[in-house]
Amino acid sequence: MPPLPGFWAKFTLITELAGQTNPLYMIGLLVFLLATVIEASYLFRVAAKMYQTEPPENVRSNSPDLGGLSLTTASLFGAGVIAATVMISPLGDELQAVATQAQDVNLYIQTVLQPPLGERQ
Amino acid sequence: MILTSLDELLLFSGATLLVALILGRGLAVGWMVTILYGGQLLVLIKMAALGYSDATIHASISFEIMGQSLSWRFDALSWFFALITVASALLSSWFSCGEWERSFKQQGGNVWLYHSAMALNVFTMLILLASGDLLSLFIGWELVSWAGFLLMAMAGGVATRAAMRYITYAMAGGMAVFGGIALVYVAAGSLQYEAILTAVDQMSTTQLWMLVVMFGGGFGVKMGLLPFHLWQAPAYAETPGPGSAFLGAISSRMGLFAILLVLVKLFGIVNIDSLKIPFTLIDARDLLAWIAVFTIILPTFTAMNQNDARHLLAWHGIGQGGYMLLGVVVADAMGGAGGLLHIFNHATYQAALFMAVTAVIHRTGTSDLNKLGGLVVRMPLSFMVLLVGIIGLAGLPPMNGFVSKWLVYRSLLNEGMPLLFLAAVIGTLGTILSVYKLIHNIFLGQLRIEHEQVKEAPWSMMVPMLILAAIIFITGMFPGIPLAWVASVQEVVGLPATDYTLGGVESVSGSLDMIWVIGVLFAGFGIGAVIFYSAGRSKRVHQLDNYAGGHFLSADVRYQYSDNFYAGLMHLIGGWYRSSFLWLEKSVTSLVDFLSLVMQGLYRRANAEFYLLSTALFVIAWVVI
Repeated sequence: MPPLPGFWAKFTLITELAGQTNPLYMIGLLVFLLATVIEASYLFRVAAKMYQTEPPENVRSNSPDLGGLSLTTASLFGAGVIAATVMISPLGDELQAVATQAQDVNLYIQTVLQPPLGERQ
Repeated sequence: MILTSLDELLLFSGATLLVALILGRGLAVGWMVTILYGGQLLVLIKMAALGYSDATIHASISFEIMGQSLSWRFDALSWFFALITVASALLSSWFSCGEWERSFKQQGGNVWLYHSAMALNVFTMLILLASGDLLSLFIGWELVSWAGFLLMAMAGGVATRAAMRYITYAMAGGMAVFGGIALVYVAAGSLQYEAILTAVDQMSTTQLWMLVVMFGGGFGVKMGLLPFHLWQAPAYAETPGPGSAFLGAISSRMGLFAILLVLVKLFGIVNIDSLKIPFTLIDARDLLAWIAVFTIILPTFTAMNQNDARHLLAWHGIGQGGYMLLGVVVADAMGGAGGLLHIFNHATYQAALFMAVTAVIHRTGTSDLNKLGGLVVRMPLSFMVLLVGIIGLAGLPPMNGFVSKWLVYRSLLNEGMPLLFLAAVIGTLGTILSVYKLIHNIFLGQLRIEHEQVKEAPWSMMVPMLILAAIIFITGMFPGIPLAWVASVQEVVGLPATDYTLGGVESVSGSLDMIWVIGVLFAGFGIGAVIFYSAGRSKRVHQLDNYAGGHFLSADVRYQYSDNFYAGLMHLIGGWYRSSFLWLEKSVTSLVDFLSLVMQGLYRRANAEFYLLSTALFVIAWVVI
């Protein structure tokens, strides 16, 4: 769901998939989109149940009343997800730099990975 | 930081949402949010210069996330849709204040959720309309889908099932748009509108085809275009009261907004026209026109079969979207003007009709067309509103629906498209037949004994309905008022602008002056009235003082036929209707159901062998290719 954090990961993946010349990547792209539709449909079933349906009697009687606590926890998580959106840009840039660096395997080994102990001077 | 008018509009809309969320359980929340919608409308009026020019107002806020710029701005296109959105919300919210809200609460309805969901819908729609690049468009698009679900699902039961169906369609459409955005990004290297406009000329035919299919399909889902229309009628019809008036007026038009922005403005009708369909004589634009025509005909004739007033109206809403798209894809000055004007006109009469039906439900407890009748003597003002609304819906003078449909018909004839013209006229015939059923079964004929004590709708409901009825008539007589906005929209999206006058249009390809048309019409009514009253041969009779076929009828004899309403018509066209229309309708429904079953079969059953085989084949293909 844009502009929340999960969207940007998917957006980066999907634009890379669409940019490939091999037609098989197109199948990957379609599977990706289709899976997202199915995922969203299932999540909405949960959402529909949560605010539409009265909970079954046994669930109501056995559950402690955590209304306030649940609301606070949910609000904190919600605020955290929204706050994470602000962090996406620096984190994403950092990860993109690492990914670009990792594409050149030899350079990555030389500059990032520590040489084995035996080879150290 | 100096706030622009667009900032003020978005802040006002956000504040409306906050008030609904925070104070939604208190007294008079309905009136508070209605006043705030009024504030949004005032800001839009302050921005009215946009409706008469090609100017743009930018929002002060913009973001840069992972190399992507997100910005928001308003132009004539955004302003035109925003005006309809906010006005629909204002009148729908006003309608819900007072009696309807109390009654809704007594029946177990959640007023807080209703106002919050409505305010969220308006806020997200404004975000969508203000999008300044494809990524902010997608953000707005998804937000609108989620907000729509909240409003549709709130009644529970059938409504929740309809909303679940909607969201599945909406998510599929959203992902098609997402895929299209990824392809555009690869081709243009940016999601900014200016970069896309430049890149379109360099795109190959295959690329353009893929984009038209993905964006057209994705946006078409929201519009309810065939064959993606099956979600819309139950979802809108089952939304509580004035919520259905709001959704019916504007919600699905968000799809048309996106089509205008992406397919018409960015890709260009000329480019779409150049996409020929192999082994046929038609191109992508013809395909869209025929989809529009079938979207007019099939849902309209399906509406005839409905026995619930809300469902009947919701099915018509789908059909009317076909006229809008048809006018836009014909793309000459008259067609474009007709399609765009129909968005405004449809919003006015569809909201009025849903409100009139909601008023009837409020007083009688039912919208079943087989359980109503004769209410004209108890609810005369509601009858007047419904009458004005159905004349507009049927596209007859003197109401505004006539002007927009006339423009679309005229453009089809001017552009040499007689088959499309004929199909559009068949759609109008279906509309006239079914709206007659609507008004007859609710207001005409014999009043039911159980409705003897029914009263007119309260003023809190009547005033918004009467305002809408007045707008329908005034913009029917002076269509130049909305046509000025429409002409600006045409210029902004790159279509030829129409030559409008206060009374209609004046050009070499056809002219219409509604001031004259209505003048002649009323002169005719006046002459008829003079003859009628001067003859002095009329006599007022009680509704039950009647006879039929030589037999006097007393109160215990029911003589209103509401069941099997089209018996006479079916006697004439029943064979053709059953063999062609019903066959076609069932084919479309069966095809969609079959595809749904196939999809469900893929992901809801654990077919380990199938998945293993698919993966193996995919890996082999990967290695070989």
